[in-house]
Amino acid sequence: MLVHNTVITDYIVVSILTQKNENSLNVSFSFMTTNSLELVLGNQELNILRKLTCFKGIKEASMALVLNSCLEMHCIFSIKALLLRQTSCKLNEQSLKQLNRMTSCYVVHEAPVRRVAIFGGTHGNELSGVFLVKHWQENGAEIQRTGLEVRPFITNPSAVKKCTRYIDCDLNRVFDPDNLGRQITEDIPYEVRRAQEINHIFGPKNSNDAYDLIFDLHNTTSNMGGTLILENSRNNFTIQMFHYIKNALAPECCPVFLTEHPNLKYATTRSIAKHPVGVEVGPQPQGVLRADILDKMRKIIKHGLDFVHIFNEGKEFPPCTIEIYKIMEKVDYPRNKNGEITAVIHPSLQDQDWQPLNNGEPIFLTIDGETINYEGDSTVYPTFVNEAAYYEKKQAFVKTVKVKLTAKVAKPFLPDPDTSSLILKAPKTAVKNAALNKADSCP
Amino acid sequence: LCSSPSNRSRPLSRVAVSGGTHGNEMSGIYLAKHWLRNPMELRRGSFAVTPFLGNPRAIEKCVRYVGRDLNRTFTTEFLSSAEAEDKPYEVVRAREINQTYGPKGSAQAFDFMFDLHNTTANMGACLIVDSEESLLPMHMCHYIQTHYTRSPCPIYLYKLLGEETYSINSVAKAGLALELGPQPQQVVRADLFTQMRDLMACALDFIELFNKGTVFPAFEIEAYKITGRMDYPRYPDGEISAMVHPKLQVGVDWK
Repeated sequence: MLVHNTVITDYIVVSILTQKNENSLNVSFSFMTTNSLELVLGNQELNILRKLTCFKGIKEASMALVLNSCLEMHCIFSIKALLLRQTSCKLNEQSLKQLNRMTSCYVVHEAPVRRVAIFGGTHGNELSGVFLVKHWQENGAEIQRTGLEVRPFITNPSAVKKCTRYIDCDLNRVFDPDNLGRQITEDIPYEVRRAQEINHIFGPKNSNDAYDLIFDLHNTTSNMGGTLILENSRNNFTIQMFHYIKNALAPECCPVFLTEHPNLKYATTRSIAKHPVGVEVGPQPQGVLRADILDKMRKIIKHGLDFVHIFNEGKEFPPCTIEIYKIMEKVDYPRNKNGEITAVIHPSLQDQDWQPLNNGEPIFLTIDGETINYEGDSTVYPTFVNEAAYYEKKQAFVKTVKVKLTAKVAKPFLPDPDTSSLILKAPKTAVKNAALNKADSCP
Repeated sequence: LCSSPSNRSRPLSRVAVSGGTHGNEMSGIYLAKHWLRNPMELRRGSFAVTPFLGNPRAIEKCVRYVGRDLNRTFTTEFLSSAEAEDKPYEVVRAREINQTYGPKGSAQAFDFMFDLHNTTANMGACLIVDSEESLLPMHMCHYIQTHYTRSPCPIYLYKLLGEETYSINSVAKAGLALELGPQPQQVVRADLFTQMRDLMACALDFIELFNKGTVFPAFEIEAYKITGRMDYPRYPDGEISAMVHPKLQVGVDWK
């Protein structure tokens, strides 16, 4: 019995079970979707093409394919899912849990990435992104690519004007469902109101209308170089992009930081996109503009956009593996009973982002000159070491571990002349489904 | 620069040190807070230094200032203008400091004030004096340069000709500012923190020797005197239109 599982997009998971009998192949599948979709099940070798129309929810279906010869049953079924444009729908806890349990990827056909945004000024005193976005708003030639809409945008203009991180609260922490759905009152924090506006323009988050890709530009006082931030370890498209950027910038290092974690992951501005990408370049003091740091950020964006363009043209990117740093734990400064910091980052750890930290090595230095050492079973790789903005977040540095992430083949799903008739039919069914589904309640 | 032996009239007895004149320059803030808890480090045989937090409200918010730059507010204009309710916090604070450690220009003023700063610029361990005519601070700088050898300590003379002094330490009869960088605002780097502490210890050693009657002979010294200040190129609306060139950015302060 062969089991093939395929992930199509964040909204649909299809697991396929194939069972070979003497001269037939039984394919049964179960899936879950937030949108109505049409599944086209095909296999080029066997010259099979079947169409299924499905409604929202958890569904199971099976089909039997009768074969004329006994072929080796490791054929690849390509699933082309045509997502019909629907209004967004929130998954409830239970459905989400179920969705997360269905995993893995065999052949992935991604939707082409058409709508891209570049955010600067999410923190108003991180100037590289502010400067670049303002420049691109005046002259966007550098960020244009054919087949792509690239929109530069200042996310926190009030904070940018005051050259401060935020006005009321950190914009990059309020894109969670509670804050996005909060009622607007007189005393709502500026950033929550702003988050809702941004969600309206570039989202809604978790819907099919959301932007495909957002680059969110940041600086740090930590010595992190040009770090790329990944939110989802299964986002094939983003891993492929990061692989491309790393190769383009080599031999210069481009560390990849994975923030996926049940408790530590935070609701970022960029998370409204289907493919969120964080770009964190340092060291640069807040409120300061360094030409070399700006240049590094600019290069990262250039290569990122080049990748998207090449991808959209239909290029197939073979499977690739990248080394990434996965977040494990935050470490606070030692504090006294009044909550005041009693020790600072040790000179041996200062500026050593991404370098191995072993048991027994110094991490803090008290005012009295006493060294505090790291105690842990294994080597960790610290990052965000001595980031200015994190003193209030009780974070001296973050521990990460090195992990290898593999991306499957990435290829855009582009309309195929053979199946185009099917696609043309889809919109009609979509309208019908839309009418039906608007009345539906969400799963 | 060639200076005659400094005035031997009286030992220094009333000395102060300000940390956090700018609320986000952390080395001085951490040091001042430490000294307020443990004043022993600031004691010597013949005198003791009074530590204080220059701009407490800015320190609380971890910003440079809340209303206006405290370290530009010690001019006659701000120190003596009429009472007004809508004065920025720093003007009120400047007057408090002037009352406690001054009045500026009077015989009652403190003998010496240290002012602790950080900069994002790559200035190293910079000693700031208003001008070469301030003999006592210049002798102190010379002593520091010869006794603190871990890194060079460039001297910066900040006062332009004809300009009135405006800094916090101008309240006292003589003063010295320590400007250590590069350090981002709101960040404490252990290396600079230690360096600032050691430089202060060295400066206090000098005062102790001076008070005990040590003769400091004339000397020649190199210092960097301000000739002008250079703004960024700007667009008509005031926005910055160019950055410091990479060739000037990296390791070029003082070259």
